[in-house]
Order: sequence, then C-alpha cells, then structure tokens
Amino acid sequence: MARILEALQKAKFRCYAPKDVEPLVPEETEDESRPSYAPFEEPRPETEQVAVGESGSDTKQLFRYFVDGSMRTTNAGYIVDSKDRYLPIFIAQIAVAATRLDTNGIRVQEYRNRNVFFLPDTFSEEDKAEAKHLVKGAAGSSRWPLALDFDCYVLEEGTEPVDAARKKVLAGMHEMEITLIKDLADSEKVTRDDMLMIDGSLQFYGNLDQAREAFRNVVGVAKSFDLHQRVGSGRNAKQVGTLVAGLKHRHRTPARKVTVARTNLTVGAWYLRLHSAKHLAGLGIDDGVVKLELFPDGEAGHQRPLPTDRCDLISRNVLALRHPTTPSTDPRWASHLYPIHLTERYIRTRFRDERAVRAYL
Amino acid sequence: MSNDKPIGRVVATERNPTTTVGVRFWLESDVQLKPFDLVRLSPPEHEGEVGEFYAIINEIEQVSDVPSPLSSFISADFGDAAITPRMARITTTYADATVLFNTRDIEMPVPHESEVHWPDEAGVRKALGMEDYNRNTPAGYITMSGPGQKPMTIHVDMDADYLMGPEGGHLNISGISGLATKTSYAMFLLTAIQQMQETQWNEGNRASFVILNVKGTDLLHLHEEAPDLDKKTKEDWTKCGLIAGPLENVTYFYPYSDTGARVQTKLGTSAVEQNIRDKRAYRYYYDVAGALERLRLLVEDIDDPNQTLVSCADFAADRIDAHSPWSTFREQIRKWAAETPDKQIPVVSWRRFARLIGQRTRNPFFTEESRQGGAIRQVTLKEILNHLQPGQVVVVDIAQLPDYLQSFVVGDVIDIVRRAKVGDLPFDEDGREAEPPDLGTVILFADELNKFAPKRGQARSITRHLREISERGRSEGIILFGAEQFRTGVDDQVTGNSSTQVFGRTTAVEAAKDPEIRGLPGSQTQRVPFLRKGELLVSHTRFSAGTLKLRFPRNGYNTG
Repeated sequence: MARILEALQKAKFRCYAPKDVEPLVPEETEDESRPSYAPFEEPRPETEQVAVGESGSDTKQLFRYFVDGSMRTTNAGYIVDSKDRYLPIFIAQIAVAATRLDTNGIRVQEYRNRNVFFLPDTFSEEDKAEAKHLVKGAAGSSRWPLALDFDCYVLEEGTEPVDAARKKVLAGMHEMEITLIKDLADSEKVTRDDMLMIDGSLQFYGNLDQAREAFRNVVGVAKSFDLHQRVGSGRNAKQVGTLVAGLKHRHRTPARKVTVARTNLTVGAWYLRLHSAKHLAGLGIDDGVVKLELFPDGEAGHQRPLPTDRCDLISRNVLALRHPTTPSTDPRWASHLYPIHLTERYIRTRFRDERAVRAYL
Repeated sequence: MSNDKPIGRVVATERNPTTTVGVRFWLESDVQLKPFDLVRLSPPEHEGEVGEFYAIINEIEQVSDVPSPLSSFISADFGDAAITPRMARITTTYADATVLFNTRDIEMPVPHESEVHWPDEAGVRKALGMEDYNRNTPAGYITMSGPGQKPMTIHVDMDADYLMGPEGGHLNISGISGLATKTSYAMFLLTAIQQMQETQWNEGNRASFVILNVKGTDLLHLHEEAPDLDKKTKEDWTKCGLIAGPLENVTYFYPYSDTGARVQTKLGTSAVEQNIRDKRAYRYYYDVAGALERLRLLVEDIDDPNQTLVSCADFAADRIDAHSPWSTFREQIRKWAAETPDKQIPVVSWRRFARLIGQRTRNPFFTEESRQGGAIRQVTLKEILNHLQPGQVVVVDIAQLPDYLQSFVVGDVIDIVRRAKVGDLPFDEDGREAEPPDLGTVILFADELNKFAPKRGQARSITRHLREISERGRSEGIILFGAEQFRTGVDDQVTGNSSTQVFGRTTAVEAAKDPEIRGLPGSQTQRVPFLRKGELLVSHTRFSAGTLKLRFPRNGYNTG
C-alpha cells in the first residue's frame, strides 16, 4: 500500500518530501481599489459616534446562527512540472460550520468539510487525471482511509505559487460558506428576527450574486480591516484608523455604503467598539473594534440606505455578545465574539492532526 | 432519560491517555454524578469485540476555557461583577475513574470515544466482584446517582472467607466518635454474620461473638429491638438481604460488686436485675487463681524500664497459692515488700509493686465466690468463655472499670479465648484433660483499641496478644474487629493485618497522618474529613474497587 508521494513517484511524477512544515496561513485583504465610503443610513446620524446602548438580558436575541470557515493546510512536498519548475503541493482540510445559540447554549447546526489535494495547474489534463487517480487511491487505501478531493491551483504571472494556492483554498472555503448559508436561508431558519452572523467581511465573497437573497439576514463581522482607508470626503475625510481610535465604548460609526469594484457588491458597513480603549492600551488601535457589514434592501443598483434603528439593533446585539472574552487565546481577543470563537474552535477540533495528515504522504 | 442513552464520552488525549486502570470522560451538561458512583463504558463499534468496561469515579472536575482568574476578570467587562453575559461561557464537566472490570476480561485501555452509560445493578455487583464470593456477607449499600436524578441503591457484600477467615480476616474501623458510627457498623456486620450463618451459609466456619463494652451502655441492649424501628429502616435492612432486629442469643457479663445491685455497670439496676432473672446475664469476678494468671497485666501500664514490676508479678504468680483467699494474697505481697524475697529485685520495686497491687486489687470484683454465688449468677469469665457456642454473643461490660482494669479484663478475655481455641484447658474434676469446645470462629469486638494496643510505649502483653491475634488469629479462628478514633494511635501490626479497613469521618490531620488513608486513590483522601454521619469508606480485600463509600441501615437493636 503506497503512500501518496510514493505512488506519484512510482508513476512518472518527480516529487519530493516537504522541506519545511510551515502551514499555509490564510490571509485576506480588503479590495485594493479602495471602495467609496458614502453615507448610507437613514435618518442620517448627526454625529460620527452613535451611542448604541445595552440590550437587556430579557430582550430577544437577534443572532441565532453563527457561521465560520476554517482551513488547515499541510505542505505535502514539491513536484517538478513539465517546465522543470519546482512547485509546492498541499493537502488542505477545509471546513465550515454553523452553530445555533439558544437558551440551552450553543449547538452545532451543520458541519461540512473537504480534504483537498492541491497540485499546480501546469500539468496536462492527462497527467492531472493520472495524478488524481493516484492520490485518491493512495489516501483511500490507507489503513485509516482519507477521502481526498483533487484540485489544482492556478499559477499567475507575478504571483507566488503559495499565494496562488492560498487564494484557491480560500475561494473553496468561501464557496462552502455560501452554500451553507444558502441552505440555512432556504430552510427558512435564518430570518429577519433570527439573523446569522458570519466571521469576516462580506467583501471577500466573490460570487454572491446567486446568493444575494440568502445573505439578506446575514451580518458579516470583521475583526481586521484596512486602517488606512479614507472615509468621508473633503475636509471631513478621515482614515479608518483615526475613526476607530477615537470611537468610544458602546458607540458605533454611522453606516456607510461600500461598493467593491471587483465584485460590484454593495454593502452597508459601520464600526462598533466592543471594549473600552482605556483597558486595551497594550493592544492595537483597532482591537476591541469590529466592522459590521449588511446587505441593504432593494435590487442591485437601487439599494435603500440602512435604517438607523436596524443598525442600532444589530449593534446592540453584537455588543451583547462581547462577553465572555477570550484573553490569552489570541492577540485579537478583544475583537472576538464568543459564539464565533466557539464555532471556529469546533471546526479546529475536527481537523486531523498535522502529523496524521503527513502520514499519508 | 433512558438507561441506554449515553451520558458522556471517554476522552483519551496526548496528555491524559486512558490506561488499563484510569479513564477520563466528559459528561452531558444535565448529568449529575458523584465520586464512588459506577459507570458502564461501551466502546465504539469499530473497536471490535472488546466488551464493556465498568469504572468507579474518583473525582469530577469542571473546566472552562478561562485560562486564569485575570481572564475572567477581564471578561466581566474588566471587573464588573454584576454583568450577565448573553452567552454562558463554554464549560464541561469531566470525571476521572478507575476501571474495575471488563465483561470479556480484556485488559486494554478503554477506547477513546467510548460511550458512558448508567450501569445496571447486576453489572455493578459483577464489576465489584461480588458474584464470585464464597460466603456473601451484607456490608451495606451504595447509593449511586441514576437516570433522571433518581438515585440507585445497590447492596454490597463482603466475602466472609476474607472477613472472618480462613482466607483473610480482621476488621478495623476508625473515625471520630459520634460521627463515624463505628460501633453501629460493627454491630450491623455482626448481625449480618449471625443471620447469614443461620440462614444462608451451608458450609464454612461459624462464628461466636465476644463484645467488649468499653463505654456507655450502647452495647448493653443488644438483645432488645430498637424502639424506633420504622418502615424505612426495615426496608433498608431488607435491601441488604437481612431482617431488621437485634442480635440473638446474647449474654451479658457485668463486673461483680459487693454493694447495691452487686454490679459495676452504667446500665440501670432494673435492667440488670431483669437480665439476671432472664438468665441472660452474669456477674463476673476474679478469685486469686484467676488474678494470678494475669497479674502482670495489672502493672504493665506503669513506666517500668527495667521490668522489675513485671518480675515481681511473675514472682508472686509462681509462689502464691492459687487457692488462697484474697486476704492471704495481700498479706503475702505486703510481707514480700518488707522482706525483699528476691534479691535481684530492688526493695524499692517490691514496695512499689505492693502499693500498686494493693491499690489495683481493691476493686470489688477481686473477691471470692460468695455463698449465694449460684443464685446471683456470679461466675468467672473462664467458666463461660471456655464453653462458647457458635452463634452465641457474649458482651463483657468493662465500661465502669478504670483503664488498668479494663486492660486486665480484655487481656484475660483474649487469653481465655486463645487457650480455649488451642485446647489448653484445665483438667476436669477427674483429672482428665477437658475436651476442647467448638467455639466456632470467635469474633472479638473491641472499641478504643488504642487503649489496649497503643502504638507508642512499651509493648504490653495485651498488645502482644492482639498482635498475635492479628497475625495468626485467622488460622487459630480468632478474628479481631477493632475500632478506635485515631488509627495512627494503634499498633501498626494490629491495624495493618486487617483485611478489611473501614474509615469513618476523621480529622484532616489524622487523614494526613494515616498512611492507609493517604494511600486511597486521589481525592478520596481529601474526602475522609468530610464524610457525613453514617457514611463509611470501606476497603475490603475482595472489593475489586478497593474502596467503596457505603451506607448501612440504622441499628436494629436498642442503643439505650
């Protein structure tokens, strides 16, 4: 019973064991085209800092579902392609989960995962087909069989192979998240009163056109955002960093319209401070602040501004989830929301150990 | 909640792997267990035919994802104690348990992800090894957590072969007075043995019982049914397979006195008279012959590094005519004190000996048989103990006697029983060697064992007797059921040879000092100072669990 690399080597592929064990860390950056940030709230707040207030413990909780995706990639070695390029190969474990929060606590609603072997897209279709057969066969016939999908990452001019692979893995993960959210929406579980929160910015989802309706009651919560982005216009324009640095505890900024040129997506976005900055002196200026994103109502190109009371309601409910916190688990703990944190932890507990994955190589 | 629904899952981690002995599992959030509960562990199907495991819980812990108090402080909005988070922090309760039994006799670690289930009674008894006993002796019951928060009660047995021989023997009970219920538990066991040997056991040795009443009147009503024997108590006894009630065939011995009711006891006069009338009691006394045999017991508690007092006692025992009256005895001792008959013993010692003996034999039970001896049932202990019958219960009351006379009587009782067991009996009236009686196994119960076999100080003959009983009594057919407040105050050999150890509530200091308690698994040591009244940790050689936390029914006899 040959392992993956051995099976490939026995055929015609020149491949080698991994030189290092550094995993592929996912990285998402906001659109480089710097989208516009026009006011997008009705009635328009008069100040740059809107007090959110606290929702009482007896008020109904708005967020019922929490979705997160995660991946763990294992450097599977290197392969030499027909142009004698020495290119990395990876095994990625990609998983998404939806959790449901109610009075009994948090429970897993849905969990989906894929294990994917990534080869560079520089081989002939025949070679790819043969490699796919060998890889799936080796993983599947192991003593502890692993269902392994096969995919190729696309090498682009001026892009490092690792970045290309990363992009492919992230796209796969986002696709799984979208499908999951779509299924939840289709089953009418996610509604205007039982909203869904997803970890990360909605701007990263490239193909939301087909799922726009499913995202109607979805709020994206981003812990990271571009601090250099300019918000507003003329003399009142400010960088996001300046804006959030001065944002008071339990306050939010007015919602603004963000249009992502690449995907032509329009969302309403605002920033909310979860924890008082005076306690977070040792952390970055954006720690304790999250960026909230929500699709506006209306057809594409004719979206209506977000109602202020809706923004306030969402903000209050996000604020209510700031406890418990998770200091010591992550430097970004002040921006964590606990249900999201647990959802991610759940996914990570399901991943196979790095050493176990290497055993298939 | 059905019995079949799992209540948790076994978890084997890198840092805490399961072993052939230890297992850890987490529990569903609404499940309540407690230490000493048993659980059934059912491995996942893919593990194959490895059978089911039974395990006893050592400790239960809860863990959250808070790494430190500081994290929790920060999490509460930097120290706002009134804050109520919308979402409760994730926590889990997990238990550490000791594996007792596998249904296929497989000794492999419990597989990861094995399901945790409530056990059934038959399974628990099998897991505890009770189905393999030769002679089951009810020892109380376990009250375990059960499905739907309804407790499960499972009766527990000891194996008489290991409690009273021939395979093992002796029992020691320690704990604080009043809370440890030492005497009550000992009497429960004696009642269980008495009932079982009458009704259940077809073979094996049968027991007679010698009980020393060292304080109060608790043990002077053993033949009387408890006046408050209610339905619940009767049910508890029934659960154990016994009938609630007093001991049968009980005989009392009160120390003789020449005044009042002619006894030295804390029992009321009318009760004494009634027992005498019902031929259920005797007055015991010591004539010179009886006292001479144990004379050294009267001086052994005195600090005597050169053993001169003991030498005086031996000298006197060899030379004084056993048939002489007490007046002659005392006169002779006084004379020797003046003359110093054995020059190897200094005169000072003789004088000290005479003073002590004079003082210590002043008790009225050192007397001759009175003219109405038969009528008032005045006997020597030897007359009766030499003819003990299996099933018979003899209570020797020494509560009113001073310490040195208590030791004297206890030493005498032990010596009589031992001699009777080995057939070392006086010749009969025709000069023939008496036929050794069938005493059965003699179970001797002595409270305040620290008084008779103290750990510290010079070993007295009574301590040596008790040591010998603990070492060889099993083969001789003498079993010691001893009790004391502090086990560390008792001679190590006496306690160490007990195959059954019972721990009632004790102090934290004692728990820390006692190696037997320190040797209990994990948190059980910490639990001993917090045992409730009527709860006992019982360690019996045949328990596969080593130690169990037992409860037992309330007394079936009148505690006075």
